[in-house]
Amino acid sequence: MAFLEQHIHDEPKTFLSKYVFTFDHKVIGKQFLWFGIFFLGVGGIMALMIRWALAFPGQAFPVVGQFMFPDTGGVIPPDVYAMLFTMHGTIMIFYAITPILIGAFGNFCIPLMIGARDMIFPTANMLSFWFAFVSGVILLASLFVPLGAAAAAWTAYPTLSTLVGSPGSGQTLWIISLFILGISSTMGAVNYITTIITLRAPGMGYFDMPLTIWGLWLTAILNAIFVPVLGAGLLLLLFDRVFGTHFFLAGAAATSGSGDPVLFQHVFWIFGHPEVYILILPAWGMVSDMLSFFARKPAFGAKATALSMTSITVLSTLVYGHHMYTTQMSPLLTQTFMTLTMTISIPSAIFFANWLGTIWKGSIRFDSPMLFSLGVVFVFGLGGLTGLYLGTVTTDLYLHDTYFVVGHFHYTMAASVLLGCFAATYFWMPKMFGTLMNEFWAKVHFWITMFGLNGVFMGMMLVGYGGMHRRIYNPFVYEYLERLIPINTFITWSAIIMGLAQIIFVINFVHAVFFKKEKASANPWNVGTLEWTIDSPAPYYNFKEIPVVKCGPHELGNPNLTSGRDFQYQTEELVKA
Amino acid sequence: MAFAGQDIHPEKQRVAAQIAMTILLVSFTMLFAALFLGYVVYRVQAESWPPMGMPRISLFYPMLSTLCIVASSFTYWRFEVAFTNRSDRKVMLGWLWFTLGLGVAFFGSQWLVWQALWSEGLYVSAGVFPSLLHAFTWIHLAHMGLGLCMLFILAWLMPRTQYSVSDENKVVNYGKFWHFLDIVWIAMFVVLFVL
Ligand SMILES: [Cu+2]
Repeated sequence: MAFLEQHIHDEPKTFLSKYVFTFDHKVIGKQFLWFGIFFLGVGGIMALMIRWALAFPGQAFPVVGQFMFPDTGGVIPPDVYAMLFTMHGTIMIFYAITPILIGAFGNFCIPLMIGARDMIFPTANMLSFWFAFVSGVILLASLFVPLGAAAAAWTAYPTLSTLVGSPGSGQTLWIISLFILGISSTMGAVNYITTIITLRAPGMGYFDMPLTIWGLWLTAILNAIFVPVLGAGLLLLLFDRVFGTHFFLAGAAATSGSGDPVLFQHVFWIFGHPEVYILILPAWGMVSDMLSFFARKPAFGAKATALSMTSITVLSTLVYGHHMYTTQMSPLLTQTFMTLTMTISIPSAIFFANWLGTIWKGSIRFDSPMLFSLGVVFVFGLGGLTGLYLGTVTTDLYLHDTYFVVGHFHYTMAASVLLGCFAATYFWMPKMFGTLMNEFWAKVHFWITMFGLNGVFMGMMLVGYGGMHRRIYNPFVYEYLERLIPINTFITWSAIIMGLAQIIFVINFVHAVFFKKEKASANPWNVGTLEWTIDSPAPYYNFKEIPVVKCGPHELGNPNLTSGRDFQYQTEELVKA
Repeated sequence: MAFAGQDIHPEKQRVAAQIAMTILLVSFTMLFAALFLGYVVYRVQAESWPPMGMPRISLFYPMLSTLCIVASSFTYWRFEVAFTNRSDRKVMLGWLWFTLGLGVAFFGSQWLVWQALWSEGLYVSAGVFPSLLHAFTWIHLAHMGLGLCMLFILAWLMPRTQYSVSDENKVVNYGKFWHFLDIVWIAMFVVLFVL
């Protein structure tokens, strides 16, 4: 297809043009990375507060509790609890994971891995970050308004999220900030899709793209199609709150005619289910690549992996109803959604098998990115399998809205995506900042995180199976749940340990970015994709000469290689016997 | 949107701009499609439409809006033809300003539509039916505002245009957006006011 060679633009000289209002996709990627890591911290602290309330109900939150909740003597009050789980979900999904995986690594990797000098629309790219920034500021501001932040959960179901359920401006600001973030995502998505179609280096067909790019591309397509659907729902909800329209009011709250609260659920999940894949597809792509890179073998069935990711993308648009089995849907419809949902297991199983095929008999190097990638394989397997029970109508009726659901989506969306983020950060660190992070501490970080998150999310599935409902301030007022307090305490301790382990990561990261003297080589991991053919860190123009691609991204361990390397660059002719 | 590498490969730049605009229009279509989905749900659930005790408004002002916007699509097309043929600059600018005028007139006619609604007691908060009428026209009009901004950019660029690829991309793709809003309005007109 169309190939477009971009100019080398002048090197930005001032601080403002270099680090703040920059057109350089690599710097924009780093901006998104810092933005995401900041919100990861905020969302993480909120998670710990939620866990505290569940493990030690009625006890003052340590250290800062007295200062934050003076009225209750430091105990987290019920309304704050609702705000906490709402904002935790919102922040983690939209302001931490999305900016890191899609904003940071999407921006950083796409041009470098397809051999381009920048995104095709650098201005839109810059605007995309600043829209996200403004949106983040509004969201943070909403924490401090009278009556507090949004408290209708990240799904913002009416009538909880209308003025009936949430008076005060917190929920309104929540809607506005999400809408602005939607504009940012859509802008980014248009940019990503067009860049990948038009700026691939000469010789690079779609199946010569690394699977990372496949994942990011499919994610961008889903973003462009489904974020506007959420936008429509948010606008109507905003009108309900600000201008008094009646879209989602029903019963006594609506004076004449009647709105339909369940309609919002439909609109939300038409977006919401693809959103799950928006988050996970880039991680899948990265893991598919890294498993091959660190097993020193070509990716097993790379084409099939790409195609099954594509078919999951298509299928993901047809299954949203599985979030709504308990809304008195017609059984005909629930059966249909169930069948379609189960169909997703087929392509999932294909690429999961391909992952295993890739590491099978490989000479695996357990560097930190590989450890995290294997972690993704493990937790995603668990998360995916538990999804079957929620996609099945009969079991879902029991498990709906319990902690089993919370455990399940944390395994898929939180654990595997988070581990994917870490894998990517450790892996591309030298290309981004020119240094490698400390391997020893990276491994310590991995193992503690891995045990911590399995403790947390496995525990959640256990208590959920035991019947503990989500979003309840103090579930233990119900007698049958009292015996679950010890498991909840265990979950909380796991969460605290996992949280503390992240300090290791932050120190390691900050040290590598700002203080480490020892520079990384151009290709420390010995892999052949295009970004490793240039210096570390990547120069502002990326490629002096636009590379010509002659083989696929996973040419490792070829027995015919005579160069003394066990891999070949994508710019080299495939070595044959 | 500014390209990296402004002056090379004009043909490829054209393709890239077209791809981007197509994706953008898909996004906008999804936004409006979701709104229409909502409309269908309310409509199907209602026992009668418009709901009990709610009048329809006269088609006069909505027709006026339709006229303005359809005419503006036509004049934009004339402008585009004049641009591609590099005809007399005065003629080209004339069509552009004519389009702009009709765009502004559309805003005025929408105000009249709202006035007509209010005079019938169809206030925003009077129920789902007037809520739909208001919300749909608001959202469409907000996009029209975006479209007008694009027309103003063109009005600023065109007197000095060298018919460069980047100018041509603007003319073509802003036009697509403008016609898209025309089509959305026609759908809204039929669905909200006629049916
Ligand atoms: Cu789903």
